[in-house]
Amino acid sequence: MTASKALDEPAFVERLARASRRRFGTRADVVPVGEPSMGGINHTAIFEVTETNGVARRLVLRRETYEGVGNPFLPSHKQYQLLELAHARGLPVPEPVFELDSADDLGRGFVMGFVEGETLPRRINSDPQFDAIRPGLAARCGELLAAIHDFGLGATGFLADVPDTADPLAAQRERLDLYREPHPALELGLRWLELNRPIGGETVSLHGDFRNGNFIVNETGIVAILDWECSHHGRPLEDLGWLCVPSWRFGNLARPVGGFGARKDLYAAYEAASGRKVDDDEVRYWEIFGMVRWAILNVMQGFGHVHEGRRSMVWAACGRNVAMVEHELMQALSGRAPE
Amino acid sequence: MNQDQPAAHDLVSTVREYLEGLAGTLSEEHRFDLRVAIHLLGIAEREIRDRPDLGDEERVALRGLTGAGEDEDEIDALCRALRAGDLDDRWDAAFAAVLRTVELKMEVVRPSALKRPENREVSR
Repeated sequence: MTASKALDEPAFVERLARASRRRFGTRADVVPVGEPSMGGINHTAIFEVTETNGVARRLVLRRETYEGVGNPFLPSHKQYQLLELAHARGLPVPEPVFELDSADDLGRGFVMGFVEGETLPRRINSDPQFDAIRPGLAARCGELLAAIHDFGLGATGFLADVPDTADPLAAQRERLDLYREPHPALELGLRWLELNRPIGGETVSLHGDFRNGNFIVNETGIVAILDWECSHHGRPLEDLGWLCVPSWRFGNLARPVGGFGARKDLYAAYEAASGRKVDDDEVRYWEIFGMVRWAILNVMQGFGHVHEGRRSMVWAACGRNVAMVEHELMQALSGRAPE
Repeated sequence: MNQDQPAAHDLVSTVREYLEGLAGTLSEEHRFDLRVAIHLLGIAEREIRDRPDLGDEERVALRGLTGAGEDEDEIDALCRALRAGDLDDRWDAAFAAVLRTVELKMEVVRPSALKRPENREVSR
């Protein structure tokens, strides 16, 4: 982490200080801490506010920055509502502190509590400091997903108009079409998904991006669930399948749950906590869906690099990374001709 | 007219090899960037040097499979036919054609993944 970029600009820090004083009192002081450098979609800045009682509190500013066509991410207001909901239900999430408004002159976003811990998947999967919690991690994921799926469609009514809520396959197809690049493997995957669509069953509130890398872990287990910008309504097992997508195993393919755990542990804990039966075939259906979805997100980032001015080596690599995800997809589809 | 030596792919690999030698001198953050840079240069190098592509016979077969129009690109035709469901009853042939397109890209992006025995999940 380096203190650079926005936090290096005095005018930005002053606006952040003003926003903080509006909430914490006129004597609140702001000290920049840093900006995580490998962030994806949102701008994330860490800072400390010293309140009038002299106690320093570490906070995180998250701002919307993605402005490309076909933005697949929830507006920050809805992300904040999800954080509030999860926090009120006692789930491990960063504490929602305040939302930005127009008087802050900082764009759209919110401020949440800072949670200390590890997010890097390869460390979670292999660092000895997590040896003790790793065996229980898949089961914990199952419990947390069951709790998220229990939010209720009414309490998350603001997710009803998300394209993925209406039809997850159509939402992917429409995004792919925006990027004007032919992808036979993704068409094959989408066709297979269409011909094998699960029918009937229940709709619940989904996290939508619950995978290794999107939660913070310490020696006690998962201490914060992050990145709610893909939340929508859908079939419960969509979230379980996404967690098992090969890309989220970070090279540890033999451990299907995030590269750290076994399916049976995830399934058993989810079943016990939710009362729903886990159909392994359907989880694998959503894994295939997840590979198509992840590939399309990479197409989007490559498109942003070439056509929308979001230029970076990482986004350029995303464009070519699509082939690797397509290769995994073809392996998953091999020998699975539709009935 | 041919350009003088070294060839373009050799220029790229020369820069890549130089960058590989820098890894030990950088902070963790910059080492990540360096890995991405080396990966991208490797892609450019293989694409310029190898230019993997469909053969003429494969193109003809693909046009036959997809019913490609005279002015229609074969890959566009494959996408169009798949989405329309026109290949549902020739799934294995469609699968093989698609796999070939992915392998042509992988020969550039990560050829090692085409060769290595898969570290697959063995059981639930």
